[in-house]
Parts: sequence; structure tokens; C-alpha cells
Amino acid sequence: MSVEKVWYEELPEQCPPSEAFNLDRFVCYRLCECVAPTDGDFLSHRVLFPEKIFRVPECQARSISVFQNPEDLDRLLKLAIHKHKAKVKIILSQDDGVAMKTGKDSHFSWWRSREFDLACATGSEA
Amino acid sequence: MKALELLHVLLDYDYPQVFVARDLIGVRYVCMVSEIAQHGPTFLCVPVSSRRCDELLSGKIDLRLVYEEPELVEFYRANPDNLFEPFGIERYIIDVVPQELLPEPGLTFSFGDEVLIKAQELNATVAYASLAVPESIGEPRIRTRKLSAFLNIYQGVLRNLARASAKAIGKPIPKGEDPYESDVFGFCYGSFTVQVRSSEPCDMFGENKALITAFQTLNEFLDVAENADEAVQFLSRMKGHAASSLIGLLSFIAENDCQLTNRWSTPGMHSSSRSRVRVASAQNIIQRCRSREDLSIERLELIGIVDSADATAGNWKIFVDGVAYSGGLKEGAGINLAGIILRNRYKFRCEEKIEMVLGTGREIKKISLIGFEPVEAP
Repeated sequence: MSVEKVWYEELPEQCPPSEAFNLDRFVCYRLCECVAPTDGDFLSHRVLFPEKIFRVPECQARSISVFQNPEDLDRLLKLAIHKHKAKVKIILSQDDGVAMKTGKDSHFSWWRSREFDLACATGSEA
Repeated sequence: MKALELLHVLLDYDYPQVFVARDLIGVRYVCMVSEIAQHGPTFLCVPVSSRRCDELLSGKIDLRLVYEEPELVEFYRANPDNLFEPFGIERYIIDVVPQELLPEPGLTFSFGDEVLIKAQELNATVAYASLAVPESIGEPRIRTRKLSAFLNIYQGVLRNLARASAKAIGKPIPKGEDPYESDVFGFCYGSFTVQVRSSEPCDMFGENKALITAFQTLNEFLDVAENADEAVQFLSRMKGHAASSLIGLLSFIAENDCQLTNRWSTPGMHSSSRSRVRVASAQNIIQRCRSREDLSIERLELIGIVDSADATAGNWKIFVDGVAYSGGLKEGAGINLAGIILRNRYKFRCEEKIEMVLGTGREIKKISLIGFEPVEAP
């Protein structure tokens, strides 16, 4: 992480972790309310629910879940609360933040920078 | 109001979407996010029997079945603020779960890692050590003396690996502190499997750093044990107490003709770590270690007040922070204790040779002085 980034939200010390990597046309997928995503589709649960603690380190609470394999989102789409959502392809570059492999399957935690541009979310499935 | 505590997260995306929790008397509940409001998500929870819970965790049934055909027509809603702590649930009076809330068919989970599951249940760092002793072939059984010897050796390995690793990163574990202590909490099938957990309270993530380091190092060693050369190199890097206790463990395995499989996990790991050492591998390594006396030698620097120094017998005693150390002289080092002024402060450079008494896991230490110099009072 050689380039100084301005994060979308305030991060605790030593966050993102040193294991997080710079993004270089990193292709990943996220569930969004519709195929034309909005800024609200890319908010961490700490921004959405400031008072909630969901049994993850505070650093991870300020990251956004993405999957490298779009098929891994199919499991989430089976939940009634998510089934209306669209799988959106995102191509992340260095300015968009950093990411780290966390959780199961192809799940990554992405720490979003202020530079992130919605234009890199293509709104198309794999 | 009933309270639940989270056990296993089955589906995670930004925050837990589906999880298993239990109430104060141990009844399991499956909870699924069913509504997202501005203040946070609401989970729909349903009690399940242990059997149904196991079936869900092992992928034998899907999530839809749990809600569509509940064992009890009893539903609850929860809006937890903090999943690290027990949270309240409220009865939700419905006869059936409405179709619009049911998950699609086919949402199954594969959660068969018993060590990880136990770590999450206890919110602690745990390990399962499986000993393939001959008497355990037909039933979970082991000679008492073997079990006793193994537990002594195993705890000695954890202690020495934790201390060596902490020292290597410049944060030694202070004398009198033993954060690597473990408690046996059960036995289970699978050779003869001893279940151990951290004795000390873990942090909020169920992690005990000292034990984690010890288990990591132990499994790294077991992984390289297939290759005797690599194993001896590993022991050369560890040296002293740590190497000596690992050799003691190998000797136990060889003498009792029992393969060891060690699995360990913290609640937050994606899966438990599993490593194994075969009897033949243990024998090979022990054979090579016979000519390597240096493996059990550790350098020691003692700075303290000299209490006695017998130039004729070559014996000495020094107090370091109130702890007495005594020993002899290293053969061939050409040291004369005659010049030492008693009650003065010295730095003793020593070699500590460690031997492990098989059967008890007790260590015998022999300290030999290789050099000394006076030092100023701090």
C-alpha cells in the first residue's frame, strides 16, 4: 500500500490490515438494489448501522463484502430479503481502495476510498 | 424475554445473514435476516433440535425446510445490537412463515469441521489431539499411564513453543505467567481424541495468542516431520526447551506406536488446522537427533547477584530477580570462578541443556557457565 489513500470512512488504527492488497483491475461482484447501482449500495455496515456490533473486528466492520466469483452470490439471492437484488460487476483499481481475502468461498473485504467511482460498477452479471 | 448467544455464522455478507444461536438452557435456534430497517436488520429465529441443527450444518437439509416445516410452531424475532453478547428475542405469533419470507430451496451449508464448531461454541481456542494407540482401534480407550504421559508432554510442548515464539519476537512471557495453560474438556471418538481448550479467558474473538502461536508452531513441525532433514532443520532453529519438548513428543509417539493427529481452531478461523505425524517419521527424526546434542542446548544470559562461587568444585549460584539459578562450568571453557566477588552484580553467559524425562514430561535442566563479567547496578 504505497500510495496514500483517503478512505470513505474513518478507519481505526492499523486498518486496513497490512495483508490487504492494492487493487489492479480487480474484478468482483456485489449485490445491489438494481442493475444501475447507487452510492448506497457500497456502504459498510458501520456506516449503515453505526450502533450495531456484528462480531467482527471493527476494521472489518468498515469494509464492504465482495465476491470474486459471481456464483457465490447465488446463495445470498436465495434469501427472501436479497432475492430482488442484482449481481453487479465491479472493476476496482488502485484508487478505489484495498482488499483482503476474508471469510468463505471467494469473499473479500474491500476498504473503499473516497476516489471510488460508481462508473466502475458495470451493472452487468458475469 | 429469552436471550440467545450466537454460535455459528452460516452465511456472512457485510454482517451475518444466517446463524445458529443457543438459549440459556442450550436449545439451538436458526436465525435468518428477514427485514432490514434503518436501525438495523431483523432476524427471524426458529428453535431446532440438536439433530436438525446437525442436519442443517452438514448440508443434509436446506434452510427452507427449517422454516417451512419447523419442529415447533414457535417463531421469534431479534434485533441484536451486539452479537458478542447475549441478545433478546421476542415471540412472533405466526402459524406458518409467509411465503415471501421463506428462503429459496437449495440453500445448504457445509459446516462439518467439528473443531471449528467447538471453538465457536466455547468462544475459545481449542485443539483435538488424536492418539492412534493400539487399544483405541475398537473403542475410545487408552492406557491411563499413556494418557497421563501424553498430556504432560503435550502441555510441555505448548509451554515451550509459546515461550520460544514470544521470545523470538522480543516479547517474552514473564516468569510466573502461563497463558498457554490448557484444560482437557472432553474425549471423543477418532483414535483416542483428547479435547483441550485454553484455560485462560480468551479475548472477545475467542483467541488466546500464546496458545495460537504454540499450536501454529506445533502443526508446522508436524507438517515437516515427513521429511526428517527438514524436521531436524526445524528443531535446529528452535533449539533448547522447544526442541527438547518436540523430541520428547516424538519419543512418546515412537515408544507407544501411536500416530498423532493435532487439529486446532479459534472461532474466527475459516477451518481448523490439521497436521499429523506418523510413527515411522517420528522414529526417523529421533534417529537423526541422537547425534545432535546441540539441539537441546539453549543460550542463557543471567544478570543478577552472585550468591556463591566455589572455584574448587566449579559450582555457582546467582539470583536473578529473586529467582535462584545454579550450575557448573562448561567443560573446556577454561573458566576460573576465583575472581568473582560474592554479593556483587554479574552477567553470566551460560548454556542450558534440557533433557525431558519420558513418562512425566518433566524437564531436567543443566546450566553450564561459559563466561561472565561484572555489571553495574541498574
